[in-house]
Amino acid sequence: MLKLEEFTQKRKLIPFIILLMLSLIPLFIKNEYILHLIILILLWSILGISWNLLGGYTGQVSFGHAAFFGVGAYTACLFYVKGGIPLWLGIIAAGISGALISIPIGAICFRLRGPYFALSVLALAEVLRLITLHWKSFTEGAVGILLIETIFSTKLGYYYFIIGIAIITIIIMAYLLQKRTGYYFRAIREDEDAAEALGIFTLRYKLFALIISAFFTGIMGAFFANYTNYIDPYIVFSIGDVSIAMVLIVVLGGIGTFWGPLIGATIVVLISEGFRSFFSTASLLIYGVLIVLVILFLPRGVVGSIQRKI
Amino acid sequence: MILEVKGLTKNFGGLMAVKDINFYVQRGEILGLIGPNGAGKTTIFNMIGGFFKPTKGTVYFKGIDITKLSPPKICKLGITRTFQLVKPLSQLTVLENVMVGAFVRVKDPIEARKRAIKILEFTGQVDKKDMRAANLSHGDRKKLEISKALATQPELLLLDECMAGLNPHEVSDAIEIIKRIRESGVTLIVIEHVMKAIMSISDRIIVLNHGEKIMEGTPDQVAVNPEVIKAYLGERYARN
Amino acid sequence: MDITILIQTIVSGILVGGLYALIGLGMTLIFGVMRIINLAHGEFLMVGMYICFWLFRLLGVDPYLSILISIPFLFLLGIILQRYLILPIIKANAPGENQILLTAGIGLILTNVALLLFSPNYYTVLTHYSNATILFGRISLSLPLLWDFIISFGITGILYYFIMKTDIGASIRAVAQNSDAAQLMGINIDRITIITFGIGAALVGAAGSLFMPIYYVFPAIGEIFTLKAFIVVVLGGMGSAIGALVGGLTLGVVETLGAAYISMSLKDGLGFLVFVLVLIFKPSGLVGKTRF
Repeated sequence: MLKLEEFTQKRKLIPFIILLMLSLIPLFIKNEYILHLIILILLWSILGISWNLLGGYTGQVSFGHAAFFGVGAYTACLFYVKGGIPLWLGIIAAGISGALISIPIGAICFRLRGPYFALSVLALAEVLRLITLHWKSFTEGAVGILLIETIFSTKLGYYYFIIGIAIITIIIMAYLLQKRTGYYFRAIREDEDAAEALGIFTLRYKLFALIISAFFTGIMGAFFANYTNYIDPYIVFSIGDVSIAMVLIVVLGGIGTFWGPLIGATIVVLISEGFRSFFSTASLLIYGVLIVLVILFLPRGVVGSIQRKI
Repeated sequence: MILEVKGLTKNFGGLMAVKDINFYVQRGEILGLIGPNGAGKTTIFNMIGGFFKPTKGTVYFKGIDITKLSPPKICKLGITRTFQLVKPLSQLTVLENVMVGAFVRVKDPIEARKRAIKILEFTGQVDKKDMRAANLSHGDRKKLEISKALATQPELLLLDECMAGLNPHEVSDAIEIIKRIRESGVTLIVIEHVMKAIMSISDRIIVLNHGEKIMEGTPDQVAVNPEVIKAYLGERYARN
Repeated sequence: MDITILIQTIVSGILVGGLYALIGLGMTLIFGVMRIINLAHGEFLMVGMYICFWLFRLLGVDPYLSILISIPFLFLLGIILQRYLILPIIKANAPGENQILLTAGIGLILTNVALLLFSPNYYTVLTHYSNATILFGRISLSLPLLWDFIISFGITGILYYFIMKTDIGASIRAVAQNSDAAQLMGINIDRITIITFGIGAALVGAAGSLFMPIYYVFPAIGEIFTLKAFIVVVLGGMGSAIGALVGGLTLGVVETLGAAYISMSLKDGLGFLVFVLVLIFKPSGLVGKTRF
């Protein structure tokens, strides 16, 4: 018994050890492509972790998280391009605006449960995309926004920056999950009626999970905008490339597990990048096949399937 | 009077599930609620607990009108209900299930854990505390339903058929637990079909049939009442 | 405001709405019977449209005749997908998000196969009647659109007859109402869900052929119409056939009114706006009863 408790204590440090090791990598490896891959993996991991808080732990599966990614990306870019506000502040503003837009979205969509909720968020994300597309005077519409100057000028800068964000995200998630909030999230996932009978204001907690999830998703949107220099409504509000991708990563890794998003992100990024270099047109096709294979053969995800065996 | 129900009525479209129900519950007593299936017993619990809004009527708890309040609010005020078709939090352990209940009174996980363990000791489930609720036997799930509810520290506990499907040994165990719950100062309303059990633990019994109250009295009075016998067994038996 | 133009716009909206209703019917049928939300629905429409296009381009087949091919083809496609991909996960009791993801994956595969085979170009079908109009008094209506509506109406009528008067139709209704009870009465649930998915796909395939004369096809068109189908179904009420009809007509009218009086490019947005309003004020749909 004692050994098990020791182990679980030490287990909490593993993510930080990994991130520590990652931060040492640039000392040995100068290959920019490898750094790029790791940045992508961390980017999607953070997106997955954010989605997992709402979808995996609280049981509210959303197929429309691109709403927050896109709002975050546009907030950061518009603040800078139109308002001259420094990109650093823009990133924080991105998180805040993601969180803010999630409140009315939650208020509308949480009236529905299960798959209806999932798709209603998708529909609202589409509304946001359409607004961004058509409000040309404000958002530049389909032309998109090009960032001439971004937060960092070197890949290394982004590398350490995202490691930092990853550390913060993991700390906040871990903190929430072991407090009463975490227990309440999971109770809501298991049975909403039972949760209400036990004194839980389910709507409040669902909104709370959504707001936090949207906050980090928005920050990643701003990170993405800086990292790739260019955004437009089709990229950052994309159903397939953002919303569905986030769901796939977490489902593949193991929904509702701690490691699921990280493992899922690693697999998806490596496979996508691997195929992209070989068959660029077919890469999306492979993506679709991957989704189907995962659902058919690994419904609980990688981590979930391992947990079953234990 | 800890609970007072006046003129409680529930109409589902055309179906009158519960009609003009009036009763009260004294603090510290065990009130039994019996009646054939479909009599409206669980509907009454749903209305007291805030899950359904009554078509007509009011519910007073400790003098406060709670008729329009939401279930979590009612739980915080001091009424907790269990579900006839139990609702365990399947992927959580027994201990975590009970902790969720405890969290309504206390914020700190360590404190909640302590209280949960005490509850599990009270109901005799502490040896299973690390088992996932999904893996429990039927009897243990029924007991978990009670443990979860107790953790919320209710003043009034509504038990909905907590003995359904239990073997005789488990039924005696449940009766023991209910008696101990009353001794600890909690008032109870118990819906039950296991006749011997409910007759032996209740101070008073209310009998429902087709959504209406057909009788109220002590267990002895109820047992011999012809209307009650007719409701359960039909005309023939009532005439005797 | 010219009343003639107004009436014309509304009637056009109703005609288009008939097509939307057909598309929505397919989705709501699938949902009603097996609680699956088919995110590949728009892609089925795309397949129907490509069938129509290539039959026209290569063999000169009139779009309205191509329905006779697209219906069985999509029916077959639907059956195969349901039997080999979707049914296994229903039986494994997969969580809802897995089912949605699976159909999303299927949609992705269909879209990208089309992209690889047919290139991203936009294709249209131009027949001698493509731009023909017909006059009712002072109201001018597009002829293909009118035909589309009449044929959709006919197909809906046939479907109604099938569901209400045949044994299989009764079985489908039984499974939709209570699959456990249906199973206990000896209905082969698997067979019914396979047939239903096939019918749902076939309805959309037919809509594809009908759509080709008045629209254009490209591989990514599926996404747009899956969303439209979803809007139609939610507007009317999930699982409700009448709801799909009401939802489709509503969407059609809202879009055409919006295109005529507000802006062409915003017409899609209007559909979403109505969708959001319904979600806020009547989540069970304009017709539907609360069944989440």
